[in-house]
Parts: sequence; structure tokens; C-alpha cells
Amino acid sequence: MKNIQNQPLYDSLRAALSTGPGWQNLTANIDVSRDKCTRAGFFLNFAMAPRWFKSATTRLELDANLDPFGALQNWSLGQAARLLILLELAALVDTDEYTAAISELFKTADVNELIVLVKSLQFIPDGETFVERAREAARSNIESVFCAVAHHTDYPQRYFDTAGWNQLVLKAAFLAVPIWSIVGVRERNNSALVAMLQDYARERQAASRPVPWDLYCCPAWNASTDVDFQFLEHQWVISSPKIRAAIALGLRENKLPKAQTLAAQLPDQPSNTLRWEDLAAWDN
Amino acid sequence: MYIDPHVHMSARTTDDYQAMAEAGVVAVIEPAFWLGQPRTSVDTYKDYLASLVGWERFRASQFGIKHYCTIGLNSKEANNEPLAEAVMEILPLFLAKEGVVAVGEIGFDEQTALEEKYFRAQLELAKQFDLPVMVHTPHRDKLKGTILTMDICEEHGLLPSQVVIDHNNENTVKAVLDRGYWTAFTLYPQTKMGSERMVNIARQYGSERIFIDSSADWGVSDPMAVPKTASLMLQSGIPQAEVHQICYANALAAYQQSGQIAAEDWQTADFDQAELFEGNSVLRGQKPIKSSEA
Ligand SMILES: [Zn+2]
Repeated sequence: MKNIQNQPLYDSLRAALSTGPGWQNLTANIDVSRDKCTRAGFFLNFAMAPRWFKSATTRLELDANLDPFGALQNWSLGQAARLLILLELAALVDTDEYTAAISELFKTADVNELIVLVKSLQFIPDGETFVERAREAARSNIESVFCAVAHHTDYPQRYFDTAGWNQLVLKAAFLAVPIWSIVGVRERNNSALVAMLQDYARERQAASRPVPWDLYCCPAWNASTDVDFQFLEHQWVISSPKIRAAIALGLRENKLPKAQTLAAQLPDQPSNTLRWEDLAAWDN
Repeated sequence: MYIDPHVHMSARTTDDYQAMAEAGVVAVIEPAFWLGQPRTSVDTYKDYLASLVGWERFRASQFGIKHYCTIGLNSKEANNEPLAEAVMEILPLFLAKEGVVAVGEIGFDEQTALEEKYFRAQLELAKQFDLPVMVHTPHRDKLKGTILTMDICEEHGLLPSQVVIDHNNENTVKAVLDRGYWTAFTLYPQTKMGSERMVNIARQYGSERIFIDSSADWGVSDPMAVPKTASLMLQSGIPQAEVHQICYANALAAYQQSGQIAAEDWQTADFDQAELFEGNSVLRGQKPIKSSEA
């Protein structure tokens, strides 16, 4: 049994939920669990929470310090109630039961439940225990599930091994969801990942299919060998203005003099104030 | 706009989804079913049920179709008692999930004692979770099995309005309608009910509490049966309003009692996209979702 480790979040969730239509139902059922915590009761509470907070428009508003990556932004109260139920469980049962019960939820989850569970990993006690579950989410072809683990969280940065990290970024390219905004994408960039992304770009081009523009951040930040620079120069020639800008921006952010030189030599330089988030808004 | 309220999409291809969407099918209901061969463990059952509320729901959304399901232990597998016991234990995990519109498809196959035992147990679950029931009537000795099914439902205190009796034919339709149940017909391309026979039934019995489905699965079946039969009905002079009842509105009314399906689900054009894009503040490269109006 644990104390609620993230007390400020816990308090904020309760405060937000107490204004919602399902508050009485939620607290009554949480009280039942506190009296006698059974796995069936926990499953029922977790399953029913969104039904208690029927109205889809009730949104959660949290301080940035409670949710530094904005994972809970625009959450409905039903989703918030599910996170609260997870936090409650941690305080009621021992670690084995806590892990087993949450694992069972993962196994039987529907898409919306899976999203809540994955996004909650950065907030619940012992979140790192569920790293294999997060890896499964990162393998999902359901975009919203994949994005739940890839974006607005530092969970993969903290707990994925290199192979898992590289697959996450590659899968983001495959699903054509943002790479540049994955938390830790600079810090955990590595040559093995860059090689995979280079191959992926060539493979897409061979099939006459578009390449995600922000895939190029990783090769440009990491470029150090002649082969790396040749790859970027060639891609610069054959690619869209958006990808050219991404290559130029990435090279500028690469500390090596050779990268700086190449960046300066490229024609049609993007403006010096261009940032990745600006570039994301460009048309492809 | 059509609803196919009984179709096993897990067994179908994306071509089917595409064709159905183009023909105006806006929503499907997928009842939990058997695999054609018996499942050997509760774990594979669990995976199957999870796919109904998970992947299949998502896959349908990619074609602009809303996917709902019913959850239950089917009658054939009720005859394997250890499996049935284990499945009964996990059903509550799934019955409260989003988009679960009934307990089903349950009922009789061979009409054995074990089938009856688990049918009754699941009627109790339906009451506990406040869900309607979708009943599969037996292919053999159908009328007797259908009447027994209705007797048992009433014994457990369910109202006829809470129960859908499916796979009806000319022999069962009167008994089921007279007792006030939702009366569904499965249209099979070669056997059982064909579209022409369905037109005659609609002529004779009208459109109150009657609806149709394709029950398409891994066998010879046609996921386009609902829109095709709707056209045939219109061509045969059945009024548009009645066709709308039979091919859309009645199924919606029956399953709406679950609180998990509503016309708004597919009438708000951006509903799917909201779900798909959740948590994704920078969007790019998503496949466009076709709204039902498109
Ligand atoms: Zn069926």
C-alpha cells in the first residue's frame, strides 16, 4: 500500500471532479472500495466512470506544473475519474495486486480505456512497472493509442530502452504523426535510429510515397560522417521546401563545424527565427 | 442511411467496410460469436472480446462506420462447461465498455441443459448491467426453441421490449411479434431468409418492431444484405418510411435502450475525427474520415 504519491494532482482531480454530474456516484463507489477493495469492484468503477460523468463537454483544467507535458489537456471528467480510480487503487492494495489489477485492465481495455491507461502511466505510482504495456501501445496501429504514449509524456524517454525508443520514433514516421514533438527526441537521438530513418526515407522514395518532413530532424542533428552529409545533401535536392527547411534547421542545430558549413551553403535558407513548431504548421 | 444490427465484421475485409459505407451503412452491431471451431481457452475468448471493443471498433471508424457490439457467451460454447464458467467470470469486464449495446448473441443451439443454464445466467447479467438482450434462435427445431426462449426471458422478468429475437422466419414471425418482442430477420444469400421473402413479410406484417440484418460472418453471407434488401423493398412499392423503420430506425430504437448508441454518433460529422485525433495537438498526415453525409 502506498500513500498517494502525487498528492497535488490527486487533490486537483478531486476538486475538478466534484463539480461534475457523476461526483456522487464516483465517491459512493470509491467509498465501497475503501471499505472492501475487490478487484471486481475496481474493474466496475473503472468501467463505469465515464458513464457517471455523462456530459462529454466537461473538461479538466490543470496547472501546467501538475501536467508538464499537457497529457491531460482537454481530458473529459470521465477520463479524469479513471485516473483518480487508479490513484485510489494504489493506496488501497499491495503492490502485487496493484500491478495485477492494472495489467488485467490493459489486457481487456477498449480504445478509450487504453488511452487513459497509457497517458496515466506518467502519473501513477510505479508507472515504470508497466513499461511492456507502454511498448505494446507504441506498437499499436491505432493512432490515438500510439500517440498516447508518444506525445505529451516523458515516459518513453525515461523508461524505454534504446531498441524501444528507436522503434517508437520509426513507428511515428510510419504512422505520419509528429516526431519533432516527442519528448526527448533530441536527447535520445542515436546513430542506429538515424540509419533506420535514412533507410525508411529511401524506401518511401523508391515507392514514390511521401516522406514525413520531420523525420529529417534526427539525421541532421546527428550527422557527422561523409555518408551522413551526402545523404542530407541528396535529400535536400530531391525534396519539398518543407523538408529542405527541416534539413537546414536540423543542420544549424548540429554543433559540428562541418554541419554549420553545409547549413550555410544551402540555397533558399529559411529564416533565422524559424522553429520546429513553426515549420510543423507549413503546408507539406 | 442504414444500420446493419448483426454482422460479424471481424471475419470480413476492408472491401466490405468500403462497400457498406458507400451504400449508406452508418453503423454496425457485431455480436460476440464463435469462431467456427471451438475456442480452447478463456484467454482466446478474452482476446476476441477485447478485439470487438478495441481494434474492430477502430477499423470500422477508418471507413466512416460506427461500430458497436454485443457481449456474451454463445450457445454452442455453453456446452463446454469449464470454458463457459470461465467466460462467465470475464463477461462483466466487458459489459460496461463503451459501445456495448446488449448481452448477446445468446440463446439456444441444440437446446441442451447447459445452454439453458448459461442463457439464464446471462439474462441475469443483462438485468444487472441494464442492457437489452440479443437472442440467437436455433437453426433446428426453431419454433419450439423460440417459444422456450421467450418463456425463459419472461420468467427472468425481462420485458419483451428489452429483447431482440433474431433469425426469424415465416414460421416464427407471428409468435414473436404477437408477444411484443423486437423481431429481427437475418438475410442469407442462399438459405433461410432471402430478400424476396423479406419483402413479402414486410408486406404482410408492416414495419412495427421488425428489422433486418445480414449476420455476415466467415461463412457464405452478404454484408450488403441490408442496403440490397432496402432497394428491393423500395422497388416493390413498400413506402420509404417503412423501409426506414425496417432498415434503420427500429434497430436503433431497440439498442438505444443501452444508452450506448444514438443517432448523434454518426450525425456529427467530426465525431470520429475527435476520437482519432485525441491528445494529438499537431495533426498531419491523417487519413480523412468520411462522414456519413460525404
Ligand atoms: Zn451472429
